[in-house]
Amino acid sequence: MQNIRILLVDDHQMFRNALRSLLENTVNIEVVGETGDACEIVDLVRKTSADIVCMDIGMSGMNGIEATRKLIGACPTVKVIALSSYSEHKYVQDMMAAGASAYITKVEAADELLRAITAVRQNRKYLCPDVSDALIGAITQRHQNDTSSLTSRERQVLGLVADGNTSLVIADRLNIALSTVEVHRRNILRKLNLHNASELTRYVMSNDILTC
Amino acid sequence: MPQKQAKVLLGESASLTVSQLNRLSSEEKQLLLDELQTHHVQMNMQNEELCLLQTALDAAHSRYLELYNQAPLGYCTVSRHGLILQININASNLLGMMPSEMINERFSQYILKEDMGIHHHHSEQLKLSNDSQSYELRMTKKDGTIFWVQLLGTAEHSAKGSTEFRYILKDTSKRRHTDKALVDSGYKFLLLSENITFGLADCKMIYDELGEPIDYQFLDVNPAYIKMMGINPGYKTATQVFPDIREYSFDWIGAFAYVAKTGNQIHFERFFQFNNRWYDCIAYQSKIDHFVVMFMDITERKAHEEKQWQYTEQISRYADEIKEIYEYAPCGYYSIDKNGYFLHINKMALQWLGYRKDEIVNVCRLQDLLSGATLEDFEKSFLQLQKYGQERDLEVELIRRDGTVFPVLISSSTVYDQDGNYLMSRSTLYDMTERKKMEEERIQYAKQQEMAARHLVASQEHLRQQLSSELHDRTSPNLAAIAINLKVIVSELQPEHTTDFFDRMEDTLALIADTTTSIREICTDMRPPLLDYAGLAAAIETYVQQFKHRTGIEVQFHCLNQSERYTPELESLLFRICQEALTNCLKHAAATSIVITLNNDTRPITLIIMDNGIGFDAEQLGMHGCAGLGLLSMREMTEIMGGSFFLESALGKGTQIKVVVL
Repeated sequence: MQNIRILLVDDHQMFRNALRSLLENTVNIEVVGETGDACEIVDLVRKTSADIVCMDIGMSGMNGIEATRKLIGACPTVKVIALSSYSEHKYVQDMMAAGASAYITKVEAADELLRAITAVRQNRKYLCPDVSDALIGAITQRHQNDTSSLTSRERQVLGLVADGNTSLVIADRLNIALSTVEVHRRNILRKLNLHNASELTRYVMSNDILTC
Repeated sequence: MPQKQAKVLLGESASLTVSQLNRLSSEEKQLLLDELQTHHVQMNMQNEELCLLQTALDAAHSRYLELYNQAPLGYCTVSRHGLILQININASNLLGMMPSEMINERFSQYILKEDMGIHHHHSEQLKLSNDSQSYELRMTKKDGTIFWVQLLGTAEHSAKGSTEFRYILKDTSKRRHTDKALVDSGYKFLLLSENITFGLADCKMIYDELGEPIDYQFLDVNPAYIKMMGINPGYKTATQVFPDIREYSFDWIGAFAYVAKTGNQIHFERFFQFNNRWYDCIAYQSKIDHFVVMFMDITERKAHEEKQWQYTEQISRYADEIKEIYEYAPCGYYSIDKNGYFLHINKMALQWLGYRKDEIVNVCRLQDLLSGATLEDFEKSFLQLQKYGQERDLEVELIRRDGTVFPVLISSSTVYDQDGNYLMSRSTLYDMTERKKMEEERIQYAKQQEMAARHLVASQEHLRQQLSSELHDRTSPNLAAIAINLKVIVSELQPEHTTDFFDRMEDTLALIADTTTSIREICTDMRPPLLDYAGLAAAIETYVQQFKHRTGIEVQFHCLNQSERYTPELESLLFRICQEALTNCLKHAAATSIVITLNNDTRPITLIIMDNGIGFDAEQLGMHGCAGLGLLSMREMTEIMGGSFFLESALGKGTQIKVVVL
């Protein structure tokens, strides 16, 4: 199977490096080039015969949306995966309209980039959970709050909360800082679309969460 | 002489008897007859003469009666027993009667009962001596009127030993009421002065051996005098009664001496140091070296006069002050007639204008001094002033003598005559040069301030934008890079490390996720990148979605023109107001539903944020520290951008915020 040829476009060198090391650890993926300047993208794609372009949006000079539009206009077969710090609806809409095949946020890149690559190789569109959650939320107002998106550590913390432990006790039990427990609690609230401690307590009681 | 002859003849014939006659010879008889005839003629002649005399006497008598009756004085003859024997018309007129009615009536019946004693006393005196008696008493007229009469009585003793009283009557009622009366009646008047309020003193001058007046002696004073001076002088001298009289500021002795000596009347007002009072004095000569002085206490009047004088002084001082204030007040004053001609103008105004008074007053019209640009305003205002009586704060420009123009403020009021016709108007003039300058400076300053405020807002926005993009474009990707690197590292780890290590890794990744989220929130709060990228409507829309997601509060956003773009400052302002309003709703309003409407299809733009929360009493806004501050900053920000901010709220009725920007 031929390697998937990937081109990285981001004006942030360190992030490009991180992406490169992530992708180079993966079989069948080859990073054929990278640039911080979106203006040279068409030439670079033609020169490297890239299959997929990982495109940042907020770049100095030409932004990612404009560059995508130009690139798709020039090379319709190339796939663009938007890799952005923004998760706002408007950016997603514009980027997809410009011709991108996938949209993932940078913070989710570690988990989501490979999934996105797989999807676009199969000519599917792909949106990362952050983005799709927001879109679905806008449509349904109140989306489900299941625990599938929680990490195992977060499930651990949630179980301890359900048992009636205070953050101080949880920190002690898990041998982590109190502030880290608070961080986990905040992330849990966000992922479950809850807004405060009492909503969390109610959730725990009605969903019969057990200690992991 | 025929009379003598006849007498002799008669005498002789009387002694001639018939026998003797018979013895007479015929010759002798003839002689006697002749003689008798002569006598007869003589007798006839004498008789005629007597007749003539009788006629003359009758004429003289009637003339006397006429004089008696018509005399300007009243005459009356009274018998020893008091019956009226004779009375002239003047006297009977005094009593309101005819002489015929009074003959044989009692004289005393016409005298007032109370004064009978006086009359009786003097009548007795008349009977005893030949001296005439003059006295005053009251008589009653037929109609009951009482009047004062001066009687001068004399007694006529006839040979038979009977006595008749003759009286001259003089009406003194009028005289008693005049100063002249006092002169005439002199000291006698004193006797009657019991009831009068002014003091009277009858005195006699005392001279030294050289004839110089040195003192005077009191002869009589009335009760009012005693009361007035608080002392009864009796028969003492002035220097005994008033030991320091010679040292008094006024030469009382000298003044009285002049009167007593010359008979001239003097009238003066003096301060009497003895009892520290003021007197109005009239001094008359009663007889040589005697004088009567009348005192009237005028201390009260003098005090009034003094006070009045002081008032007058004060008023005149005030008038001077007012004049000075008028002339040198820090504002101009003038009056103009109906044509605009100056009637008065103060020095300050003249100084401003650079003219002399005589170049302005009655010579020049106010209109002549007005700049062309403001003349019409003045004419309009002047008509109003004449009609309604008052005009305030008219701004016009005056032209100085040197041709330069300065702004003034005029306030005027009209003076009308009794018929309501315009007489003149009085105006106050304020030089506005400084004020105008200050106003301009103030406007300039306000402009600068507004610019500074705008600049501040702009630079603040710029700073927020920079910080936001820094965080967004650098910190966030860094964190993302760290997360990716951690994943890569984890994938490289040996399986025996992983369990405990994996938990640590998840903690670290959770920290990164939380940090990334908080950075995103900070960025949104500071300045969402979307605002620059997609504009106000998209930014609000997204913020609303996030807010709903975060808080669970229902928020609707309506916008007519999604793609319209404005200046970054205005977009930022409206976005921030939305943000602030939503934050307030979350923190204070306990709202469950919020509606945001952006009317931006036409100018002015209106942004309305309405919630169904608990609301608040807008007047007690100060009580809600945080909410107040948030609202205050919203209002301030709006005003900096030249917009208007409206807030409507009531307890239990939610809150509506409305921002209107041109």
